[in-house]
Amino acid sequence: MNKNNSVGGLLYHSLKKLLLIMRIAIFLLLVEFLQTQATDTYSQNTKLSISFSNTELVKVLDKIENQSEFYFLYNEKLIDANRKVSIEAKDKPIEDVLKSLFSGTDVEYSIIDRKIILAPAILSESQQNGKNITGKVTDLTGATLPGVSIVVKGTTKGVITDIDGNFSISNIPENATLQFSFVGMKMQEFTVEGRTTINVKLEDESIGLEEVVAIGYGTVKKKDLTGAVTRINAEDLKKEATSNMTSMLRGSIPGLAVNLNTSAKGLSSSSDMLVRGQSSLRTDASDMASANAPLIVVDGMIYYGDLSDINPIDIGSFDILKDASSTAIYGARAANGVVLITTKKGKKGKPIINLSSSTGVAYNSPKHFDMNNGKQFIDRRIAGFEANERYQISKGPGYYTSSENLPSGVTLDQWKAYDGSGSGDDLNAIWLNRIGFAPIEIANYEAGKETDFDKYTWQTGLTQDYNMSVSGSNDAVSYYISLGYTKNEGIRYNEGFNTIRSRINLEANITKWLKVGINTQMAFRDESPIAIENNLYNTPYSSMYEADGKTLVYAPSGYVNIPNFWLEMKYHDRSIKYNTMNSKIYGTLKLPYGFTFTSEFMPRFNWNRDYESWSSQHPLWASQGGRASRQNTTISEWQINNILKWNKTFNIHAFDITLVQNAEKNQFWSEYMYRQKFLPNDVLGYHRMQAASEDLEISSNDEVSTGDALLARLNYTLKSRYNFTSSFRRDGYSAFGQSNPRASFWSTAIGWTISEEKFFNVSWMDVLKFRLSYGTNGNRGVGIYDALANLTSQKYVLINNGSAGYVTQLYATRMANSKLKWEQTAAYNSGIDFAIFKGRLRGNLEVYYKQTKNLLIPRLLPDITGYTSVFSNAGQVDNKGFEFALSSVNINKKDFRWNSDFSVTFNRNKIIHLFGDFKTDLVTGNVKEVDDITNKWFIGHAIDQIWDYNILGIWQESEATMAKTYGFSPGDYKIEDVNNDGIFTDADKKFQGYKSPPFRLTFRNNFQYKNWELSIKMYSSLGQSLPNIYLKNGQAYYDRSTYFNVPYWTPENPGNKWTRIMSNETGILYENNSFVRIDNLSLSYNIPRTLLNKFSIANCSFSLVSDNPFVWAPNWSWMDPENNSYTPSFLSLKLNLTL
Amino acid sequence: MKKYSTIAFLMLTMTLLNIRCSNEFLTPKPLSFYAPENTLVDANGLNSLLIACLSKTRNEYYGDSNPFNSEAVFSDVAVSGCTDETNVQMDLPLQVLPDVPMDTKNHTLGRFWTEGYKRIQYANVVISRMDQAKWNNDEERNNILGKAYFHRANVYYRLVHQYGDVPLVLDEIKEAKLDFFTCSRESILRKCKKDLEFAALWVYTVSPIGDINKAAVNHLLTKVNLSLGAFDDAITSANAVINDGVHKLMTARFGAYKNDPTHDIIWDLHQVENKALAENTERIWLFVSDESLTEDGASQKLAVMRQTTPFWGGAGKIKTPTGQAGITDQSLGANVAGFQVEIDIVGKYGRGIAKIRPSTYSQFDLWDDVNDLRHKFPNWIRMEDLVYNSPILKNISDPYYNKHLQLYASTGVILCTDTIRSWFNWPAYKLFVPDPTNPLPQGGYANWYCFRLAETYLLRAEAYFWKNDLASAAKDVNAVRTRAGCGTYTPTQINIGTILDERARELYYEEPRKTELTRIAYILAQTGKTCYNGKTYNLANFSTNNFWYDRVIEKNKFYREQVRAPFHNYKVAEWIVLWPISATAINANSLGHINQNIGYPGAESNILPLKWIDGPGDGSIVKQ
Repeated sequence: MNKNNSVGGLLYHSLKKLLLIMRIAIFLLLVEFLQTQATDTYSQNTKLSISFSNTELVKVLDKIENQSEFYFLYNEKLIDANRKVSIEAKDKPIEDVLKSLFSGTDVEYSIIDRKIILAPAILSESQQNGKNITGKVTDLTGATLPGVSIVVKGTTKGVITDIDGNFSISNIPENATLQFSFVGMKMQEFTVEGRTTINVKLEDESIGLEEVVAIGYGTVKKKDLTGAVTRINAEDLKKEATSNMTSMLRGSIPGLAVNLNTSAKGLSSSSDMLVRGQSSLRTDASDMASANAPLIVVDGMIYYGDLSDINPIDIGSFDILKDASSTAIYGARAANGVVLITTKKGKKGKPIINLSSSTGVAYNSPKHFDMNNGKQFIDRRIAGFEANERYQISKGPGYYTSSENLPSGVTLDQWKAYDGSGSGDDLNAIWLNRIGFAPIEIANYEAGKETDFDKYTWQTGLTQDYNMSVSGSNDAVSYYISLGYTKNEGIRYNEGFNTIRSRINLEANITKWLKVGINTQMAFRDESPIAIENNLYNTPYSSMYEADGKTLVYAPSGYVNIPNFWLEMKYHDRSIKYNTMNSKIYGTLKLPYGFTFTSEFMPRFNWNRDYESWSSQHPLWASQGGRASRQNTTISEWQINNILKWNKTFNIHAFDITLVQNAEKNQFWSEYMYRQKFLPNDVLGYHRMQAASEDLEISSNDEVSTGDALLARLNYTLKSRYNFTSSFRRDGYSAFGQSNPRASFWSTAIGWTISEEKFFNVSWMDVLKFRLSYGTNGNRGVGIYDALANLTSQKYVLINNGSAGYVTQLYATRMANSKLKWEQTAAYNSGIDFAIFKGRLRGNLEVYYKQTKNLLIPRLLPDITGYTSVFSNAGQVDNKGFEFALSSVNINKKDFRWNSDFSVTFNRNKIIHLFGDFKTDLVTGNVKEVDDITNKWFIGHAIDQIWDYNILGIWQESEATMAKTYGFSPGDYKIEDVNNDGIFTDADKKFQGYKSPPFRLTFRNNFQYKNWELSIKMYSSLGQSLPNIYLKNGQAYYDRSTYFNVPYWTPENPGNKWTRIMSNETGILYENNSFVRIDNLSLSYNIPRTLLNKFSIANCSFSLVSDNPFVWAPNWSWMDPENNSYTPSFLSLKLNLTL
Repeated sequence: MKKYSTIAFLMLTMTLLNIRCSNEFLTPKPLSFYAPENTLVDANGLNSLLIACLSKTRNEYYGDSNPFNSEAVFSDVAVSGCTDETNVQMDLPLQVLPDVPMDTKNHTLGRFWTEGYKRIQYANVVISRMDQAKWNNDEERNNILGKAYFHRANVYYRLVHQYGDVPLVLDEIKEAKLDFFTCSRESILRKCKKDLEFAALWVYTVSPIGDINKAAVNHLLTKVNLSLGAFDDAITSANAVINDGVHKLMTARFGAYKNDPTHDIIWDLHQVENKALAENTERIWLFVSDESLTEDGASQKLAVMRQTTPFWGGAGKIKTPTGQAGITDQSLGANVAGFQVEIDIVGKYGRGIAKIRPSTYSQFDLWDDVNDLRHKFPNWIRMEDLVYNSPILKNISDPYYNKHLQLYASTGVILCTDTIRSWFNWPAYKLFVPDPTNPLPQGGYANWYCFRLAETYLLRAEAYFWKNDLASAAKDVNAVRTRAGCGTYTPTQINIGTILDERARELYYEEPRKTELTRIAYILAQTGKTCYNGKTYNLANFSTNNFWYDRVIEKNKFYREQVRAPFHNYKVAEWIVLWPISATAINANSLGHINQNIGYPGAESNILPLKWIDGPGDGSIVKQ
């Protein structure tokens, strides 16, 4: 947007401003225009009473707006709003008031329902050679746009389009340039060049400086933003969306990494997301993920629930707060970034009914290895035996080969005599016994029966997702109600997930000064099905069924320790169900002098039933006489926010002050019973626990935690180009309740839109803005009782007076630390936003530096203490990185449009301090801070830096003697003996690459041709190395299982990557795991409106969506680089219908 | 306007007044776990910590890959039998290193250290809180204190013979402590002796079965006395057990099978049904576990067959001379390739996978008396006692069906593909433990002897031997031997080797063999006595010349001949007499210094260990 008229853009006043400046609102406006024209008589019936003398016009208009539902649309550039006026009116219609205000001026007004457009009257023709131009302004869909401002460039002369989008401007120079601007739309310029008619199509303003972004406890215009906040409208992702919200976020936002979805349920925890790298340290991988997880906030409620309970169709927008100044508002727990989710609201106008359905399939992605077939399986097994057992007892040549493939010089009798089988005549049995075939496998081999267990392991899952929503809004009530049903099958046999999700968002204007509302989300989630896992013990010659073809064979491969993998599914009955409700009930008071007060009460309930029974029909469980368990878990939580806001503009000063008081309480109750030996039988399973005669476990666990906060934020804007934000927050949390119940966090940030300055005169640059921020945040990611010593009680058995009975044992597993407190992150962020070539190219660059101190770290203790670790505050981890995002409109023709979004992010962390223990090196005499070698944390190195043995290759046959001195054999990894001491110890470990990707790229392209739309989303992680344990060929016992069809080292088939079968445990090869994934591909067709209008359908589109169709990882030698296993791809057909 | 703004302000003020920043709101409230402050205040609370010690001690023997296996593997009686794993203790110098994880799915050697120090922590909490707790009388107090001393000493006795010098912790540790130093094993043993002598005065003679009693204290004290070369004291403490009027060797048939003529007293002594019987006077300390009381938190079965009996069931491991798979480990009536199992072997002997495998010494060389009941069928089972039971053999009319197993065909060719893991003989009378809920029994919830009077006799025999009272020594050895049906030894036959032999015969998979061998090596090094092998030893070069190594090489053919298993050659070295201190313990102790044992990387920076000296309270730990 050009600086010359951005100030003169349409300004809306009062509360409605908020709504209207959202792009979406444009459409509402139009709908309402059309709708109300014929019916509404508001303007005739409303009577106004006002009295002002010598007051600025703008105040009078304000007053009218406050007193009525009228509001004014005008161009500040063309209308002198500061003109002093006097008016005295009592119970007058608006027409009269306006007449009195504007009589004698050049301002003309037109009243359209409640909207009043003010525009200067066309100047009388006083000059010659002037031209008259007429035309019509519409949006891309062809809908007319009233209220568009048209200004002759370089002058103050201009008009506004009428209700039909028509305009007429007269007496302008031949070579004049007309600027068309409208809020939420891109400004366009046209030179007259002899034309008398100019019809203009305005496009959505995707630079979105007028766009509003959520910043926590409020919103701000994007142009006034000082922090690093990225917004995406869910609408933009609608075409590619699945039934899971995390899939929408993956690869969509620079600086937000989201894991790959591999299940029918999809990702449902914030631990699967990471904003700007790791700064917390934990020893356990899943603890590490949750300690680094961003905070999720849904409609202002800090969301501790399961993400799969949020229906993606309900989501209006995501706002990702990345830097410390924007997250500081959530201070105590925002160090890992914040994901704000705003759900949809009713839109003004006639009710909108939206129906959508999606049906598709989930299938195994192409990037996987097949299992061995019979021949491959036998070859591999022989290689396994030859690689390992030949050392034990010397066996003759060809011992493991079949009698049909004897090496030359070996006679059949010699071969038979190797193991005393001379008297046997079943040659296959002799051979197959030598290679460890079980009787069942021999029988199948001889019958030529191979079973492909893939069909019992994998499936093409059916995915279904149906949603319906109704929304609308009028002056009194706005509503959004939705109901959705999702039933997904996964790629693993019997994997399934289904959920019913509903939402009611309701807001009512009770009086002019009181608004109340409720946002409620309810979900019924079923996670019962027990999915089948890939089982390497199902060799190709195993049997699934007994001869009757129905009874499951107990041990398919004859190996009794591994029962048939379907038995569990058949005899283990499981019901895991969740009922959840998240709600926000709120009221907002509009107070005088620009104050508003909002009070929010946000309860959450979660009822979880986990009932299981293990039938005595299962051969292995028969003697237990049936087992069953019931676990009931209830979570009850509330949060309260009291928010006082003051929003005021004085000339060039705009203030926005937010004060919040917050409190929360989280309660958890769980009880568990687990019993066995059901009498008379266990057919009732978990439904009749009293029928069991023995207890296995009866237990309960209750937890409670509390927190509170007070916070203040000031947003100040000067001359709409200098922005200043500062916030302060004081938090309390019961986990730190002993010595440090509270901590304070603060932030400050500035922004400067240099392109708004008069001196800035770069014609091709539309926007250039600099931002700088600093702030402190906390992380409270510890268990709620981690600061307390716990005495766990358990039972034990002693025999008193001849009878065994229970006694109690007590022991502490956790050392107390009453001084535990928040982990604190201080972060700097600087950003540049730009838009050039009239918005064709726009983007931003963020550079950040974060210091995380007082890490909540499980400090390793010498096990001599009797404890492994104690949670303490120690150490420092720094993160630095950048995010660069670029969006471009590559082609913008009438029927064809191509735009792209590209981003690259870089992150690297470094451990600066650990526990502050210094020690003098006995050799060098240097004093150095002590590393945590056990956890592989080294001062000065990244958390994820690899420190391990260096693999030089594989010992070959010719090096057998050398290998033996290390206890290795040919086919094992050749490890670098750094200190040449003949053994492998920590002294031989070296720093190698990094496990987390330093670079992540996203690239998204969208093509529109007439009614067709194609979008491609790709993302890539570059530069990370991961251990590839699979290269060691040691994941399965060669003598009783099968394996994937992958290479293995043999003397005849040597190599330097894949080892021999069951190679030595020591050493892991790290491979470059860089990859590029096409995450989503969608092709949509919008049925033309002209066709739809006949059926009163507003919108109808079909899309064909493919998730994860392709991944390319050139240097990674295993399956999917992100999942290392079978990974689903999805293909679905969606229908979206709006009435 | 005025009206509503007044109302609004009123409401606002009321709401804001409600905001209380009370710290009480933020006080953590534990609901489902106990806090030390309100629980460890009386005999009941403190005794519960000692019950936890019992439970953790029991864990040494229970579950799969239990730590106890390592006591056998690092000795003359057995080796690791997991021939299908690369990560097992076979090539000991290569695999037993400070940096190598000592707890894996195949062995859990490291738990002796980590769980041992947890037991010390529990005991120290009790000892430290003695004076804050409420007591009914001195007997109650000192019984608890004595038991706490017992548990602490019991861990240290094992640690010093497993690891040598180790850090000595005598107080409750309440906050992060990272400055531990090694303490000399001699002084640690002295501290144990002092504590146990107190305990021997106060711990009750009769306690619930499973708990510590006075005899258990004296039994342990005997071992400690021996370690310190206090042989007279050892005889005294052993006498205190043997002559306490409660304990007596079992020589007559008793218990559940007492009327079954196919069995004998050796059988009776080790049957699960009999171990806890009141009439069983040989039991000193029993680990208690019960099939009907599985809610005891441990939920670990005594998976003893899985650990110790041959993996005879492995597919194709044992063949008939016709080259057919001869034996199946599926249960009676189960379907094998379409045919039902009619001869039950798994139900009778259990499903073993030979995590440990006896040496030729403990299977054959050791047995010097044909009448030894401990080496006789059905107490002792040879592979040849089993029969080919694969139902397929019956179906194809193989002549070997239901015939006894044979290792060699008539041609002399071997018929077992894994003689390490799948072919050896074993004392089934002791190692078979019923597992009623598992059709493939591996050892269920059952009792297990920890201290048994037969060992006290052998300990006293040892004390007499060290004092050169060979007649008394022979008498004690013979008490154990004759009960097992053997002939007697003459005093001239007694030396430390014959005592060790008798221990191996009587206490296989019961005694911590590695610890006891090291204790004897320590005594020899301390006293400088000439050993039966003609050598003398001293403490100065304990890690390069010791009896433990010489005994293992002498008796355990696997290590002596460096037998080849699929992934490793069995190997041992002199310094393995003491296990390495895990790098985890050394690294985490960043402000102190824990010595590494000589022979392992890191020992070059050792410093002089501290020592414990007697004094008020628990005494003190000072520089040497």
